[in-house]
Amino acid sequence: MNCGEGIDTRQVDELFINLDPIQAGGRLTVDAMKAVLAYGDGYSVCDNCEKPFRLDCIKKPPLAKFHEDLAAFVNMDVARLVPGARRGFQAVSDTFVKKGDSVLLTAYSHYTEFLSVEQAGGIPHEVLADDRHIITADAVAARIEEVTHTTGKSPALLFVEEVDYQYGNVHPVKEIARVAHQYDIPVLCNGAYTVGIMPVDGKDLGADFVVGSGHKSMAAPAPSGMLATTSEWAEQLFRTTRIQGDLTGRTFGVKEVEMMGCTLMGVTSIGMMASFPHVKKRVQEYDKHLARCNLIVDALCSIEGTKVQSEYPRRHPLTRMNTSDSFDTVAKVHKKRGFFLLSALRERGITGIIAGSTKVWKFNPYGLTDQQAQYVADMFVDIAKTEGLSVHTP
Amino acid sequence: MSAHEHTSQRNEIQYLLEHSQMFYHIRPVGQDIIMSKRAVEAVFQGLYLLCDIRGVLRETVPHHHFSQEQQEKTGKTLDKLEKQIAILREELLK
Repeated sequence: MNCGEGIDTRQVDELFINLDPIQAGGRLTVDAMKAVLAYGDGYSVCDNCEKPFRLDCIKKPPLAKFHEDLAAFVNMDVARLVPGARRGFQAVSDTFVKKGDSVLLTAYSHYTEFLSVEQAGGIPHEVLADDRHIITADAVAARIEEVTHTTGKSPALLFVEEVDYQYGNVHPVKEIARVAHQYDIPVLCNGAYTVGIMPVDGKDLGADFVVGSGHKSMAAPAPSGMLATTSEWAEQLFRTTRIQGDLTGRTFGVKEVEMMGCTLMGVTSIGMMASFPHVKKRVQEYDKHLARCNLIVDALCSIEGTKVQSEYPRRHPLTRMNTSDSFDTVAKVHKKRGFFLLSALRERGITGIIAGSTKVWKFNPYGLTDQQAQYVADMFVDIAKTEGLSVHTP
Repeated sequence: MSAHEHTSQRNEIQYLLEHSQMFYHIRPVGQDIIMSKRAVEAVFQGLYLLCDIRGVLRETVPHHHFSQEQQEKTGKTLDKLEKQIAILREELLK
């Protein structure tokens, strides 16, 4: 069935339990689906845009209120919608990193954080993780000292992931921010995997900037996200235009330079806003989501030779497994080779892990019901038994 | 279009939206037919009801075994959907 010429109707989440690591938190709520239907046209939220003609000032639909609510949601002072977390990184780097400035990132920083530094002309300096795959405050302090000693100037900005995309581990942002602030380094907390998934308190973390992803973690269409900051930095970050046309003398009101004026003028902002009440509710039920994840991890670890490479018990549902000594031993002799695992899962109505991966792979069961989580756990064990692997009884 | 013209057009659209009740059952004007708001609302209501069913399909994937509660809820949704379809027949096909 097509939904346009040559475009299949996407039915992944209606036909399969989807464990894709980057898709779990972005699945639309039913209210977002409805809002998307009504507001799919281009500039659909602009019907009632009045002076000063800016997205965060629109009262109908209630985008102005939504912006205030977003800031409060992460306990920061000011928030803006951005087209994906990456545009939040870009705005902060562009404002606070000058050419030649040192910028601290981590071994788990997203590539778009690097690109934002590159675009601003900054020099990246990474902080490595420890053996547990955690970025520690001590490692950050040591790197700050080293960079400052080498370059003669402390870094202009520090990027740190609250939860990283490789292991889904929770990093001690609060301690890291405390260290960075001792050197007067502002801290950007990358909450792409946390804002909308688990409670995030930006001020408690000591973050100067909190970036979230709508399509990754706030049940919103792509590209969407949020950038929040404190009143200390808001004026600089969200500075308004001063440029003027030299012949026409035109000026451009209160458009914000880093936002390129308005950001999400239609289906993305409305989808994010429609999901927001549900998102606020689900972060309060985070423990239930974690319990479901741990149930599946426990089932996987009952298969002989299987290890969880992420911290355990899980503190975030994005999880990295190592099945080199279990499923990969099957793959070596299976007629479908490494594709057997995804194939076996799909036969059981489950999808989302990378095709061909049987050594190290990630999954994210966020948003599953209790029954679905139990089913996934049972099916991993069922596949193992079917393929002759030993399974320990808990 | 000047800013003033733009604002005027906006105001006009806003007025029409807020007073759209007046379009109920308006019939041929020259070669044009202005559809009833009732039909438009039935389209959206129908789509929204289908979204509710889509939500239950996602909650129960992969087997779509509905609990008693889900069956009852979906039954009510389908009843409402049939009403919206009846409205559309009444409004658009008579």
